[in-house]
Amino acid sequence: MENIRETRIVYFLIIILTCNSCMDDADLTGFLYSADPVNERVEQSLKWNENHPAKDLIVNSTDYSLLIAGDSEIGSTANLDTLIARAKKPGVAGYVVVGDITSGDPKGYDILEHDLDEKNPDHAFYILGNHDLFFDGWEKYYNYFGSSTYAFTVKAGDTSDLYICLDSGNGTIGSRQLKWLSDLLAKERKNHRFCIIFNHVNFFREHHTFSANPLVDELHVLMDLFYKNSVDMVIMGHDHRRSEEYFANTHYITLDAFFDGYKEASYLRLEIKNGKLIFGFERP
Amino acid sequence: MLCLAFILLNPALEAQISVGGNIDFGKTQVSEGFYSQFSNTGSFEDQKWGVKAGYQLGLVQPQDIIFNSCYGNIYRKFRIGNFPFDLGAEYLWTAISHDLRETNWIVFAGTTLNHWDLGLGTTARTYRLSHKAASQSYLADSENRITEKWNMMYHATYVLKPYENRWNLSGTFTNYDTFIIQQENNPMFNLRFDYKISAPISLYSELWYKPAGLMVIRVTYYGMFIRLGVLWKI
Repeated sequence: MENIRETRIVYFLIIILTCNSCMDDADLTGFLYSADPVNERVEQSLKWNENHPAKDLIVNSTDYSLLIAGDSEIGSTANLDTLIARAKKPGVAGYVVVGDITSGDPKGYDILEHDLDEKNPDHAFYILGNHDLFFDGWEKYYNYFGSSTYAFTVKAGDTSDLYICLDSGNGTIGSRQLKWLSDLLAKERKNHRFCIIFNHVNFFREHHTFSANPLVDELHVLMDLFYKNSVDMVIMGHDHRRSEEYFANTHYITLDAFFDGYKEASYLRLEIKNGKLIFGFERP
Repeated sequence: MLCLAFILLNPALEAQISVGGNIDFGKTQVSEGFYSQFSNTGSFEDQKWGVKAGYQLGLVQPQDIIFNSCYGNIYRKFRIGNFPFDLGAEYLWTAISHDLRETNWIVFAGTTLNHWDLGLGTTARTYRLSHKAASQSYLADSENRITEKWNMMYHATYVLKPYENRWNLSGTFTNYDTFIIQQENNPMFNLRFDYKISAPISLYSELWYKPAGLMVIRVTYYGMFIRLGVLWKI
């Protein structure tokens, strides 16, 4: 009996490893463990932040735009290149990619590296997705981008808006990041006009999907935190399918995927105009 | 009250009444240290149908809500061939915080076999403002809530000994507990030990493990808790 059990375990591990070697994009060892769990990454990110202060983007007008895409999943970069070109136009303060920058294939980071200077200027913001962690991806992400937990502001005269980027690559933001987020909101929220949060893993299941979400008890804590701190908008990716929800005075937006060849690919144009937040979706 | 007295006192009904108490101690990525909750449950079961209800009190928790959850369910017992089945419906109410609420309407089916207890269900989950907070909001209630229409619920429990044994050990794979329903892609695991100290009274303890990130293929530790409970079959 014991032999049969051991044999089954060995077969299971062989199947996992065989599947792993056959698939370029998915690192199936992640079903068993995560080599770089979120609390360790956050510690590294916060140390990185100590030596690299938050970016303040200065814009000429209190009316400006940000372009936000999710799941670029490089591979190829045609859609991302279009986004970058449009982000250079007047009135656009910058662009954000809310995780799954790469498909998970280790070559994705190499493709990104070839023109990283162009793709990672001062007005570009990338956050980490679960695919970016595959095949020891954290090491590469950290080398290219540094922190996966950080904030930046967009300032025009006396007006300032706060943007917060979170690491949810493990499907949870973890205790260390939650404390950082709570402290940041308590200290900084009152000093800014709007507060917008970027997170890779989407919170809600507007339709039935196998795509994962943070656990419900974590959602409870985050929804309450956002409600108490008047967070205006939470922008997420991961699900590849757009949804817009409004709850407790916060917009929760999940983006379409943005990778090349995706039929419904779109990005979000976030406009701050006449003191109001306006958003719409545009195709590459 | 008369109906309740009739149900409780009528020996012809051959009813089983049970009451239980639980206390949980645990820690998760979002609990800001240890948390503790206390709950009471009660059930009435006839040969053909049953009802259950319960409430939970938050003793130590970051949200600082004392009465934080309650539920009520009703189910019908029937057989398909030699297999016993329960089919029922439940309403679960949760206070996320002073101003935020979660409600669930649930339909479930389950069966108990010699060594297995299996269940399958679905829930429609709504996040909304409390009535007080909604009345102070300038938005219509329908514009200030999120409803998730279908979320599968499942549990599979393997029980080591026959149910009538004095002690027992069981292991469960599930996405729900009495007062919380995770999304179907966030499973939890628990090990349970039961011990009957007398015919009507049994004690039990459960060890729960919650991972995060299984379906993002980056599984990591999320939380654990211990439950100590007593069940009294009156």
